[in-house]
Amino acid sequence: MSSAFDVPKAVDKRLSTMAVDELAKRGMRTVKVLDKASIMSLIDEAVETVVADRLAELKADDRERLREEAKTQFKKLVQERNSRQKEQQEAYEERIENLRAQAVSLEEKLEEAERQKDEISTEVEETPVVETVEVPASPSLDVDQIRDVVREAVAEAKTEPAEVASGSQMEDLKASIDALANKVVQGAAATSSKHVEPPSEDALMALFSREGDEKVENNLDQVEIKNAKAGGVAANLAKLKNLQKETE
Amino acid sequence: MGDFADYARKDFDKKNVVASANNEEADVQFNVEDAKAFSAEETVATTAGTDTSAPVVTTSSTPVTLGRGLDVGTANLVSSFQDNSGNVNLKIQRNAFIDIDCDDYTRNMLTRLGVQYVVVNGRMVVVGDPAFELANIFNRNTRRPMKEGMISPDEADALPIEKMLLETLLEKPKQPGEICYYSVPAEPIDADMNVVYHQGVFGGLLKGLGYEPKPLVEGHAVVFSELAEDDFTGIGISCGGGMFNVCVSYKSIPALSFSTSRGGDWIDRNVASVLGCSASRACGLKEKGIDLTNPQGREEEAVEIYYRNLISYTLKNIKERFESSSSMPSFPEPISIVCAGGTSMIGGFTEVFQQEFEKIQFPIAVKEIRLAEDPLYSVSKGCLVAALSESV
Repeated sequence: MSSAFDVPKAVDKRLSTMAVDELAKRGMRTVKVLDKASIMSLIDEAVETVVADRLAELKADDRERLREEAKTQFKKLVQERNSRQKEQQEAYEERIENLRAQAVSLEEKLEEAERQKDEISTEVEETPVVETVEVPASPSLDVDQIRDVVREAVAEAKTEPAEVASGSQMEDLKASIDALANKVVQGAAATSSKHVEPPSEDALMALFSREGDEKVENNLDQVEIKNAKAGGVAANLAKLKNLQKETE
Repeated sequence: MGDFADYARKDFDKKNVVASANNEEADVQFNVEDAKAFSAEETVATTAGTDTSAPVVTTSSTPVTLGRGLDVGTANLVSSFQDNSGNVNLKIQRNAFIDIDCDDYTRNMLTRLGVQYVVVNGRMVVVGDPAFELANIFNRNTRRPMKEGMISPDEADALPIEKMLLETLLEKPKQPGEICYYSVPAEPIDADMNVVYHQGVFGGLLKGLGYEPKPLVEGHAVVFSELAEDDFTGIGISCGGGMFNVCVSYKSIPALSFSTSRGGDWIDRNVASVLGCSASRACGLKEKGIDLTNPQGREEEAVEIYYRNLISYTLKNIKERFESSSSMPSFPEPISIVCAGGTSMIGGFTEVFQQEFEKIQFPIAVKEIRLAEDPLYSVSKGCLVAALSESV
């Protein structure tokens, strides 16, 4: 293939600049202006016309030769593209394998955490101490880190292959990564929510109903607080009780 | 269970009270005939005397009926009990404190002046109304154990102080396990907040005092105290310092309860911001006796603007919630809306509420909008009604 001819550059190279005063000295009062875009457009038109004329004049042999050259070039490009695609597929498959291994490891850790939680719950039920409502997480289970890794992998899987492949293989690959990521993220999220699960209302009540050991200095019992009297609630009460009887 | 929320939920489920969000008559599954059977005239007490079925305990001072009500409000704590004459007795404490330097002189002076204090972490903490007055004098802000209707996460000293305030408001139960209904906010629709912790903390504090604590949603308490004449059917709104709590009730059964996270404190903060003063001072300005229908001067105008905005905001939220709810009943007759709570006590509140109400297409037919008989005590009285009804 011949190298491309840079028309705008060639035009610029041949341009010469002249001051308006110089033109005036030469007796030129008006000039006809042709902008650069118009020049390019004219050149395009001229080239297209010439090429069309020449192609019509080509002999059958020349046409065949041209077709073969184009076909060879096209095949070469496709091979290069497929090779790149294959390399990327292999990389993604390797990553999937890694993620799969991580998922398996996570599941094992989740099971372990569940086991530990059950053990602690049993202990809590047996011991009337309320502070033990929080479930300690497995120390080796770095959920956020794993989630970040998976998110990065999914983000890459969603952006990179779009440039090189759009076939069903890549879609399958993405779906596989997404499914795997979901599995891992859900597992992590479930662990996370268990980790921060607030204590139950009963546990809180038990915690705050305990008598404090220390005596706090105050004068609350020496000072009368604001009192008031309000209309009775006997009518409301009677009506409510009747209503309750009716509904029972 | 004995818990009103559970009772109501079960009864509501049993009745299958469901209507479509757009209130189409065809979708309504309310048993109206059943409802009509509850005649108001038949059920209302003939006199305003004491309910004789409730047990009475005689103490060294006044004989009282078992059962307590407690309004756990962001701005005020109000406890109530019924004496043997049928009167409702209340104790009120502003839910605020301020810390000052601790020395013997101040300690004695405060007691002589009738000012309550607590010593926490070596600092003297003045509680209640005096804290509010001190804050106004020094243009400081009071510290608040509660924020937006719930225990404040910003106040480390909140819990010991709340515990002591509850002790003075309620005293020891007349009988171990005496029922005490305490108000809790409904789930907010415009904020990501969870009421479980708040409910558990106050339940625990009351249990520690020897009571059997039972939570009651604020709006529902307003229904119990203010809507008896309507067969406990209508909308109760508790306009508090931290939140507005709404409850739609049919025959005492809550069909829908929720809260919005703006209240009187929101007005104070905004007024303080535009006037360049502390929120406590803005609150004092608000409570000095303003008429929202006729604001005088720049300060009162600021209060009026933010009140109107708050009411409008709340009504729009209520409307949206009603329209999106699948459990809204379709009432056979127009209902009443009752507003209670300290934030509703400002002059002209009902008028402004009515004006803002008329600007929106409310999805339920309303016959009247009125203020509670005792706006500040309404929630506590509602809790008391619930407690007395179970203290048999």
